[in-house]
Amino acid sequence: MENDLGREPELTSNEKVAKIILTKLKTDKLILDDETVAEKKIANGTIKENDWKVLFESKLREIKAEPISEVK
Amino acid sequence: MKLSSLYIKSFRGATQPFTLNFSQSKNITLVYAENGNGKSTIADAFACLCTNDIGSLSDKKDAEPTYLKSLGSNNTDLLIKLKTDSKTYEATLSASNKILKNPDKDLPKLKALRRAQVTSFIEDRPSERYKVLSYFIDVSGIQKSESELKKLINTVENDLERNIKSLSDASATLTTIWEKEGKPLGKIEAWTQLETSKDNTKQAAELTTNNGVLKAWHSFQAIVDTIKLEKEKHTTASEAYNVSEGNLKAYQDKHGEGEKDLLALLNETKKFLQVKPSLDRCPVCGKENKKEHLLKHVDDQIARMQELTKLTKAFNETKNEREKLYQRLKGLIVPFNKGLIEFKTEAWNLTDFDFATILNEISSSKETKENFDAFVLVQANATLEIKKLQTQTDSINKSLASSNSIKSNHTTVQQLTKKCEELNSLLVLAKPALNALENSRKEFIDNELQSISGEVETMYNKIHPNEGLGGVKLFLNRTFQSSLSLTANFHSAIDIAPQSVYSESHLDTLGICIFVALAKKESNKDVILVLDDVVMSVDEKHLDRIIKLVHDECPNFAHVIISTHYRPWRERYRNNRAPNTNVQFVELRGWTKERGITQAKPQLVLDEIKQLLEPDKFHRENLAGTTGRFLEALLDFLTLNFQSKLKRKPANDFTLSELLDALSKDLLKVLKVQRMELQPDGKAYGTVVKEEALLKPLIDDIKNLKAVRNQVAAHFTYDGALVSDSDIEDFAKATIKLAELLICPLDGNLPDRNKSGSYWETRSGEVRLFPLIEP
Repeated sequence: MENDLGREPELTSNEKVAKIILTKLKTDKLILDDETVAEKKIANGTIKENDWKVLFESKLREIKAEPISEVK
Repeated sequence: MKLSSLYIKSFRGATQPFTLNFSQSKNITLVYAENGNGKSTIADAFACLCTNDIGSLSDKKDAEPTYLKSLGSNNTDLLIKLKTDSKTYEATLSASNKILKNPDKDLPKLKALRRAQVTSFIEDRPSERYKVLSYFIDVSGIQKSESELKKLINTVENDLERNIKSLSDASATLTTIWEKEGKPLGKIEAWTQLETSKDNTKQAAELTTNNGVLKAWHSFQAIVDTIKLEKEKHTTASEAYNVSEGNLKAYQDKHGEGEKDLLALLNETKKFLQVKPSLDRCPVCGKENKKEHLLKHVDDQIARMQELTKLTKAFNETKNEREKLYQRLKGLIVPFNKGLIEFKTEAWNLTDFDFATILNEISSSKETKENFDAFVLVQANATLEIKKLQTQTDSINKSLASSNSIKSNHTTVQQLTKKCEELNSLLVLAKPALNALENSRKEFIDNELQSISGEVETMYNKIHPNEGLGGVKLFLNRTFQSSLSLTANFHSAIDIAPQSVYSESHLDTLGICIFVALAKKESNKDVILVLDDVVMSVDEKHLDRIIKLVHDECPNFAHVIISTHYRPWRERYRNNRAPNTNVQFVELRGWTKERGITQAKPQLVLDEIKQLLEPDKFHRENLAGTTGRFLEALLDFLTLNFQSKLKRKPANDFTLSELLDALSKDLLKVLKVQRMELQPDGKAYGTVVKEEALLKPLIDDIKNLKAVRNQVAAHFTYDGALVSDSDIEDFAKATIKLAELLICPLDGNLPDRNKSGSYWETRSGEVRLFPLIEP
């Protein structure tokens, strides 16, 4: 969608890097695959220490819940 | 997007409202002003409106938005208004010194470069250089996120360290207990398992019973001690009573029994007399007598019997004391019996001890005083049994404490082991995540930098061709979080720090190239590029190249605004030594607080000459002088192009005659200009010659009139006064004709490009100058 200046909204450097980071974190199984909120928070720098902790704890809970045979 | 106007009120130097109208047909605006006349105010207005920066104020320490308002203005007075062909943008300053923008998003894209940034970027430490770069590649959000993740890792690592220490302490305590007990079962794990599975209920119950007995004993012993003390006191009081009684009896035996009664009677009489208000007669014999006489008589009698009084008093006091202590002792009988019976009840069931036998004679009555004597008889045995009981209780206590310590430490070890595992698991995810953040950010910046490296190289070579410079590399130092390294080539030296060998102006141009390349990368022909006084002092040759670079790059931007205090830049345009048709001139005059920022009306020199030729503007000296200087500029160009022979002068300050004479006869024979036919698209890339003219006749005319330059414009001479107005006009007209032949009507510059290899041409190609080399 075009904005008032007649151009497509472009991603900022922060948004571009946040997108790369989220993909990497998910690929490396460091956060949940269905995590959706973190990208925006990482891009605008509003993610806090505890938010990070919650992200990793959610992933750890998922890992614990998986049957042992599926954990590599 | 085209800029229409910028309105500034109560902002920085704009103490009075100031409007800068932009030309719709030109996308370069050159703002020329000497320092302190408002150049940076214009650049800062763009920065404050279009970015989160506060412009040149950011380069100063303790800069705050409150300093943005003009002297003597209030925050509410400040207004920046930018009109474009599509929209109007406004910025104001709130009471809390925040810049408020309307609209607050989709603002025009702007990249503003100031000299301080160039200096900082090139000369500062890598960390400072990174800060400057962040203005162009803003990954501040990612860095904040990294910082929070680092905080988490630090917190978890500290927690883990503390828990590991506590775990180690608990394990050491268990080991110590195990070793003190002689390493039972040979293995601590087996022993711990056994100890923690033990049921201590029986021992705990036994301990409770023992403690009950001991408590009852100690409580009862307090009463026994009190009774003993009171008994001693009573014995002492009884002895005192016996002595006082013996003394009184001995006195009576000596003085008769009546003395005692008489003393008692006299004391009663005294009391009787004292309470009577008045008395006239003796109440016994009836004789007339006064109260005072009678009292004196009685007192005399009592005094005579003082010893008896003393003995009687002592007798009464000791008697009372003995009675009082007796009552107190009597009062202790019930508490004593209660305590004793409680103790007996508690101790009776302790089968391992002999309390049942020892306390057998103790009655259950709480009133009897015989229990005390009975207890005194068995107290020693009871005390011995109590000691044995205490020893046993201490032993149970120790055993239970040890068992509880084992269990407690074992539980702590289990809990801390689990906690440490959890913290370790967090770190296993958090640490690689931090690496992912750092690497992604650095790779992104590296890629961005790499993507402009070719551009920087091209631009830098345009300014410094064949100078053995270039090979500029910008890269992040991976060891540090925010550190940008810069290397370049210098002749045979590869990848060295350019600060060490490049001159100041070479470093300046390097900084400019990097920033223009970064801005260009972000621009989709929609970025406003502001170069705020970035060029300090460069030689003529390099200035021309910088100007050329700006003109080459301006099609990539929505608008280029150059502010400068460097007069040669202005003069290059004014004298058509640089392409000026796409340039809008703005010249600011001296700033005062009362007047604020003011604009002059700058003109091209050629237009000035034309204006001075108009009848109502005609001015002999001005016309001769302006024409002479302009002519010198044109001849300077020609002699430079054809490398004409000129006498060496330290400052190259050649006179008009010297420049004219430098054009050789051979050159003048073939010196000509061709005007090419324009194509339908308005550009001159064809081969059809529209007009051709030899320059010799024109230059000859000028040579004939050259004296006008000095005689009229430079000196007060008689000859000067003799020069006619028409000669001066002819001198100017010939110069205009020469200029109009040489200057390109499309881009406003002279034919200084050698693209064909056989003639010089202007940027557009419309004007060609022959020959290429002097024959």
